[in-house]
Amino acid sequence: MRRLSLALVVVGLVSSVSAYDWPAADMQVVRTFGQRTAGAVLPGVEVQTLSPVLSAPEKGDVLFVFRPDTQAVQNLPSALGGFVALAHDDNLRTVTTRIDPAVNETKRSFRRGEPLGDAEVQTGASESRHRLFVFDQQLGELVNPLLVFPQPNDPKAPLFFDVKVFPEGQGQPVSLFGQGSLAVGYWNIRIDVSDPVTLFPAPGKEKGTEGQRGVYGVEAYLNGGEVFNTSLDAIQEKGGRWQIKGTNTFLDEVLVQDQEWNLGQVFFNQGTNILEIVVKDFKGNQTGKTFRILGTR
Amino acid sequence: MGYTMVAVLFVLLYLVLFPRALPAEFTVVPAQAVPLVETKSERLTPGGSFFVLGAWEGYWNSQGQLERVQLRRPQAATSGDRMAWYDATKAQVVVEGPQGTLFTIPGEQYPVWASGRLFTMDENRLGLKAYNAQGHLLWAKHFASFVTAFDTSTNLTVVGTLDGKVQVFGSAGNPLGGFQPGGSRLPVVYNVAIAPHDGAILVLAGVDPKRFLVLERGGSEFRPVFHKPLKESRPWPTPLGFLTNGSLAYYETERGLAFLDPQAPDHEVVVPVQGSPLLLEALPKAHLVVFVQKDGENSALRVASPDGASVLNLPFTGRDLLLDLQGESLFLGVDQTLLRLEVRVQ
Repeated sequence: MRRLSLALVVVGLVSSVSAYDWPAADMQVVRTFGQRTAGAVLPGVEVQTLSPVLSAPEKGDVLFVFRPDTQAVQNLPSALGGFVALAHDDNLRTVTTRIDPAVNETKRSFRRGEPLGDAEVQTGASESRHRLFVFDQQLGELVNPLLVFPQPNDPKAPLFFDVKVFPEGQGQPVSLFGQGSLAVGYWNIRIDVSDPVTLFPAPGKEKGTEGQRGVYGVEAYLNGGEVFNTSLDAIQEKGGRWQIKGTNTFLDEVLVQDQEWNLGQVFFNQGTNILEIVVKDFKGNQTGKTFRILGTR
Repeated sequence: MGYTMVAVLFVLLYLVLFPRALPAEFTVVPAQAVPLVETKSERLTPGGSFFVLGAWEGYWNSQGQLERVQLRRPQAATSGDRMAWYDATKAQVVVEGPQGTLFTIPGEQYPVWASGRLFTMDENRLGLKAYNAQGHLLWAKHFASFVTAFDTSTNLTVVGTLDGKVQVFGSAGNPLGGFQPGGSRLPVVYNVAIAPHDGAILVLAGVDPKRFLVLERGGSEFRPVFHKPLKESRPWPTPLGFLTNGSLAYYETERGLAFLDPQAPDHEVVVPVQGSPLLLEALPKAHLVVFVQKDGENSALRVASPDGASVLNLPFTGRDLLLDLQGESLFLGVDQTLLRLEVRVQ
């Protein structure tokens, strides 16, 4: 038992040393990897801080620096503002956005925790929002930043807003929250889920802002057999489209609407069908729903 | 007397047999200086150009007179008589001409013009869409790494990414190969440029060392035919491109602005520059190139020959800059002022 405890401590120490630091100590995750908002998927995380300066998450070489400027070469538009991309020893690249890069012509590397640049703060706001991206150079993929940054504070489990099934072909969707029997046949399952978050209160305010983050993973079982199991660990590019790593599924076929996951097609048999769906956030909080569906002819 | 006649005849005969072109006389004459103040005009005269300068946008007609000046709208980008901007209130891109709105494109995306073609970049620089002149989607791509540079010709689009890849797409978005420059400790693409007739691609890529490459089309693919390590290693896009319909290439080196023939890239001529050369325009009739050199707030309007001769150096101070050549009018925008210069070559 003592050996096991010691091993756990060592693993804990190693993992805490190897993990990257958030670019500010008070970082709060506002939007998560793969979260779809207003139709657009975020392949990074959006974070919020009161810190006026953001720092390097890990030691790294300066790979690319961008300052929006009308006459700059390749002044490509984005919602990222100024950013710095660092190349780290483990073949990962991190990009910290919406900063005024503290990089001149001679700055070639950053130590862990060294200031990367001043935060771009919107007029009248006390906090600033930034997007962080992690790329795996070796595997050529976009990595969920929560896999390398410290665990975010997240005491709340994800919530189900709806579980709908669509009949094969054309037809009106049916909510499983209000329906216990369905025609025998193929149905497509879509779930409406999100992970609630209460952000820390801004200075001078008693309550923090309520928000919705995307969920990290979804599992579904029909009569005990797995019909869907996907976690958003990384995104790969295939033929100009994004594919969820570990699946052969394109991201836009799974994340079909804001907060809506398409779990694909299942067959409901005659008699009782047990459909279990589990959604989880990155912290490991999970919520499950079980539906008993009577298949009728 | 006889010898003198023979000598004169010899000179005349020589000049007839071996005529030499008279050197062109090049002059730049200030024609008009206009401070940028809000100017509203419902109808714009066709044939002019939209422009963006710092916090301002506007339109000048073919005579170079300002017909509209207003505060710049979000993500405003221009190409000749086309203007596109992102309307966040309706989550759409609006594309306008002199006569008003031409079409809108739904969704959060930001317009970019290249070689007169309309593209939009997604909010995270991880997606690119190409549209035709009527605003119909031609193709859309997602990338697994940031788009750091892109350029287009009439047919092809070249995309450089943070992971060091150069990808080429056809007019329908079909992949036409790619290239991953090696030879540097860290792969990354800083800038790309494609020749107007698709014959060559220029690339600035890599860290330790940063390298300049020329790719040439061999069959359906582009292959490297020249590469050169650079001593400068600024980790952001630095100037690179083609002028005079692709017959002249340029890029920024540690010594200044290098000109070269893309078909013989091992010979280059460097024009020393204080700071960075920006906003290059060719003056083909005079065989000259005009550009702005910028070193912080200290700038200069420069005219140089690709043979290395510096013809004009007009220093000024300014943060926001614009340089555009229209016919014989050269527009130089500096912060709140637009200066029209007449370029005369005789």
